[in-house]
Amino acid sequence: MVEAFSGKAAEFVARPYVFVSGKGGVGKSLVAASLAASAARMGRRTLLVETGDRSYFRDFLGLQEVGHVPGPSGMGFDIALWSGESCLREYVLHLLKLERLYKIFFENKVMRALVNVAPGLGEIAILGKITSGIRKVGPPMRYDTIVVDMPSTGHALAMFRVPKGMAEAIQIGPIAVHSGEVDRLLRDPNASGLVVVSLLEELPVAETKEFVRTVESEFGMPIRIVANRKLDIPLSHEELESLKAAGFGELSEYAGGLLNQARTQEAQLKNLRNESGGADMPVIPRLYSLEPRAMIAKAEEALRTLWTRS
Amino acid sequence: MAAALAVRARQIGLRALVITVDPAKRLATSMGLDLTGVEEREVPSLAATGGSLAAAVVDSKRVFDDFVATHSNDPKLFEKLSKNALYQQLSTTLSGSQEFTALERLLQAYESDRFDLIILDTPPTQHAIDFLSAPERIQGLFQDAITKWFMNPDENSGFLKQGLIGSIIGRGTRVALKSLEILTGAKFIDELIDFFHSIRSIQKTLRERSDKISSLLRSQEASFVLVTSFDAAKLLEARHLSSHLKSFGYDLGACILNRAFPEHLPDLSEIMSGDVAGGVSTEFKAAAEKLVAYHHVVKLDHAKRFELFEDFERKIESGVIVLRVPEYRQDLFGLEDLEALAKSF
Repeated sequence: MVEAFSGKAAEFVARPYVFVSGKGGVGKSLVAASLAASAARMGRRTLLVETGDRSYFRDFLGLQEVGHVPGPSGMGFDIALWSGESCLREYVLHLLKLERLYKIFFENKVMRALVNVAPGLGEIAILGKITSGIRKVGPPMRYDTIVVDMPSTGHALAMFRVPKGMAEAIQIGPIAVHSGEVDRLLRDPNASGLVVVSLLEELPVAETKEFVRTVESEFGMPIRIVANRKLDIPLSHEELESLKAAGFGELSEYAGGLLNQARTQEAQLKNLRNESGGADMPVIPRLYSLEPRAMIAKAEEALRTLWTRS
Repeated sequence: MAAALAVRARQIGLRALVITVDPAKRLATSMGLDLTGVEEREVPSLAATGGSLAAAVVDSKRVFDDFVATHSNDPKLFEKLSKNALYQQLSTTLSGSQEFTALERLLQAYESDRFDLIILDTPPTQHAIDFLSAPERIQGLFQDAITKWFMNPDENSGFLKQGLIGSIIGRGTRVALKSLEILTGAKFIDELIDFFHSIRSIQKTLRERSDKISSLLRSQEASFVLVTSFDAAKLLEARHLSSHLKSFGYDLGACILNRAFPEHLPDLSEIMSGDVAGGVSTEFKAAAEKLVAYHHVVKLDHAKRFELFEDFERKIESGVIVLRVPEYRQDLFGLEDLEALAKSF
């Protein structure tokens, strides 16, 4: 049995597990990397985890390799790529102890076929690995904060639900016990927090609201919403309005278009603010840069408020 | 994007169906439809096209249950299975099972002959290959050689003891199963045996269906459309997926670059040099200059992205259509916007 995480999370991102999700294409990975960078800057030993078989950050940050064993990102935090397969192997080896037994297990045709179709096995292995430090299972994990770049909302939710489903399906034995422990850590507000990234558009905002409500009611997880790609127009609405009305052809039309966009975004921002229940909501401006480190530095600035008490 | 493609199909007179596995049900929202609890629904059309469009959200539990009910000749099977803890989790909570049900739903729609085009909205790229390989993995599990290990009803509790099964399985498998018992407990093994035993009568059908799906996905009738966004790493990911698809025998037909360029980016350079100096009255001069400077930043950014896309198009395999979709000034929402977006295809 694992005890509830006893530390008090004074700041939102000071929790040991910060999950980052959102609708596809909203900039989750940029936010995850920026959160990791800011946690590291605050002196916390930080690991950024991506899930799946292929690393996005390897290309994004121009790293030589991102693999199962955490390695330096060059930005103050470590980074690792955890797939269901790599985590499961490590987990099974830990449980069976003997390398020989483990080999027989994984090389056996029946087991291979079972492992290949068993739903949720990869997910529980990844979540198990993420939480293994506190649960003292497997190799020691020397991180204060683990930021997880999760899949998009629907799949993130399915993943959060796996530990409970697994514990119910298996009921006894080490996997059942561990699944229960992982599930408790996901539901412990001092251990896990969720950052949901949204664009200021109708569909992502609707999806964000639905996701936030579901995770809140099902898991009681503390959540912060981050708005991404807000147009950073250096003109006031009045200035845009007057240019629009001034009859300068293309220039006026352009000003009018921007004014429309700005108004739509502000309406959506208000919509999201209502959802976040008064908590300060970081807003990352639309970045006109393709240089990853510059983008992270900019986003990090906007995310500072996540270090305030919550 | 799947919804827009489907709307486009209707615009050109096809009978189309769009199926989503997105648990967030965004497809339904984007078309302004409530798809909860219905199998399929006609998407209203804003103009007469001669085509038709239906939308469906895959309800995993229902597809599973129907599958068992349709393909089993044992009327009690469903009742038995629904009590099995493994089946309950498999058909509801546990992620991964949607893969099979979505593809089964696709095959059913294909066989019904009611559609000229069926669009399946799959999970994001990282999960796409996993998704597509579901039929092979199912086939792998339901080979006679494997299921027979789990199927002796008299051995439910004494699976690993000596006995009929004990004598026919190899030592390696016995050790592996013992390991599984250590990991999951004896009760789970019992459930597993019960599960395999129960589905014995539909095992052949399961295998045949999986077979059909996997040939359909690799046939000339199926093609993949990859939707990606703008940064360099995302484009690399897209290229990686495209060669991956090819190596698995799938055909990548098109690649859509979303938000590839601003919908409207006028040329304001002459205003800066001429009008601002002369024509634009001093009252607006400061604001106009700020706007032109901002416009310049946006334009430079766009030019850099343009280079990335050009490079992407050069490097992607030949024969793949690359489509750039602009970033719209207005939020796209609802059927009317979808119709407009679809027309731009």
